[in-house]
Amino acid sequence: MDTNWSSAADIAAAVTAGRSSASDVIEATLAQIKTRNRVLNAFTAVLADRARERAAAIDRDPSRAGPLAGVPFAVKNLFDVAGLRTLAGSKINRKRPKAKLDQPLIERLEAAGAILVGALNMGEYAYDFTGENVHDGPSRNPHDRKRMSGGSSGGSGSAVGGGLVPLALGSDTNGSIRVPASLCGIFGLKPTYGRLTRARSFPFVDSLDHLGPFARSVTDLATAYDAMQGYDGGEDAACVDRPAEPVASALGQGIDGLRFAVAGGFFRKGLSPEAQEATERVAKALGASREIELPEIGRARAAAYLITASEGGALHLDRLRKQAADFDPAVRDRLIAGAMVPASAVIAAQKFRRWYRAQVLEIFKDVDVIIAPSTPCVAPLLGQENFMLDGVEVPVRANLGIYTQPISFIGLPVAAVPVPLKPMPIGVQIIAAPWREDVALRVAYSLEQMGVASAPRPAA
Amino acid sequence: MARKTKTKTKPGAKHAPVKSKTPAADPLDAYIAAAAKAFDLPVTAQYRPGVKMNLVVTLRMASIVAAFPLPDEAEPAPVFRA
Repeated sequence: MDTNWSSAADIAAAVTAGRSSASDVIEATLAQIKTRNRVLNAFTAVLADRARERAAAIDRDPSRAGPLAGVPFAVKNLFDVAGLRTLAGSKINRKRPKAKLDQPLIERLEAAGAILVGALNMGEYAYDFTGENVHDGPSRNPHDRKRMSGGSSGGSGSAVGGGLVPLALGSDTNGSIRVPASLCGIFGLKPTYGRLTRARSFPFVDSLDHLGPFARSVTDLATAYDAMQGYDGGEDAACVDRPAEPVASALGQGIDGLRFAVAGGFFRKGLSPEAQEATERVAKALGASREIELPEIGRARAAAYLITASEGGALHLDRLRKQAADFDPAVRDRLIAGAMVPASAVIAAQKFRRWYRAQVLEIFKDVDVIIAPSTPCVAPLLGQENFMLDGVEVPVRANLGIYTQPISFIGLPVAAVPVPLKPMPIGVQIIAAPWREDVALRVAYSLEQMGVASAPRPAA
Repeated sequence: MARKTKTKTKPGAKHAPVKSKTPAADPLDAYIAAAAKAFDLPVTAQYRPGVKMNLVVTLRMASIVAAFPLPDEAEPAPVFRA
């Protein structure tokens, strides 16, 4: 078995059937990380001992290990991992006490047989779309090491797209799963706001934070998602008390009867030829001829921006007072500015959010899926500060997520699918109504079956 | 949030304002200085340009949102339940 590019499903099948041992999978994974991470800089901690112990336990009775038996995975370093300090990409958090428990989604994946092998690089405090990190260095794009992985879950994109692990977890406040999935050419799922528990993860913007998985196939994405669903007993105030709604077994139901629309207007402006090509390929494959304009989308983006700046500034206020020099300067200045935003502006943004949600829910009465680009362009070069958007030069850090931000603003579920353009891939958002991850993932699966969406393997 | 347009004084301009040989102070600079003091935030000379640049963008976003009319009865998205 080629562990470096095997799907989680293939690994689990081989381990469960005794064709491969979990220990062999883990040794191959650790060897791959040792070699490739020097280039990709995706990992900030490798948990070799823990992973070996867990693999040995699975090998004692692999047939009972679960649907992710022996599958290696890694998590963005804002997830609590017992025995590690939860860095959230920062220097400041290196002085925090070590976490005592794993984040619950790690516990749930491990209960399904998966094996945590490490923690992943990310933009500082998740306020980032680039994947660059001033303390740990940038995680690199597996398709071109001179390019960005995308942020803020850059290590997650780099590790999965680069074949270090078949599965990773990240967070998405304004696009931090969908942007690296796009730039690194992999699948990502940003579930409905409140679906997956965020307990024991380092927050950024409580109003907008989501956690979710990355993988190279839709089946893997759905299997991981199924294993992570379910109420957490109230540990995360936003996690909804809702029964698990498994989707993996329903992926093959197809797309007959689904009503598709392509997001126009705002989402057409500033598109690079690659983003346009990818969106058109997906729309054509799904037979989506209708175009809709989401209402006041630019204002939705502005409101998400305001809530992010303000809640982020409030979260870090005390650290800004005492340890300003220890922040990444780019993050620090944004957070200080956020702390100075008047409350009236933030309350107006939250009022607008409810209005906008009602308008978009109306649209979902006669549309099941909205198709939109994930990013305006393919991965920019590392260190690149600006790019052209609709004829205007704008900062990369704040604008790579311009198409993701108005969607997560109201918590809609999105399957981000990679379109394998050459030389660099780019992603498309498959957006569904709240709680309809099943629809988004079914569509993603159909696109994968049609060969329109796939995670391209990087040249060695 | 409307701000006064900065008064520019071109060197050698014939009708330059009499009192302002230096550009008029930007109210946002005063706001940043006051907010930094009030909130005990260390906005050093080194941080100030970055903070200002970000605040300009954020307040532009605020004016975009504020320009949209909503009724007084509109509820914010997060609703507390006792």
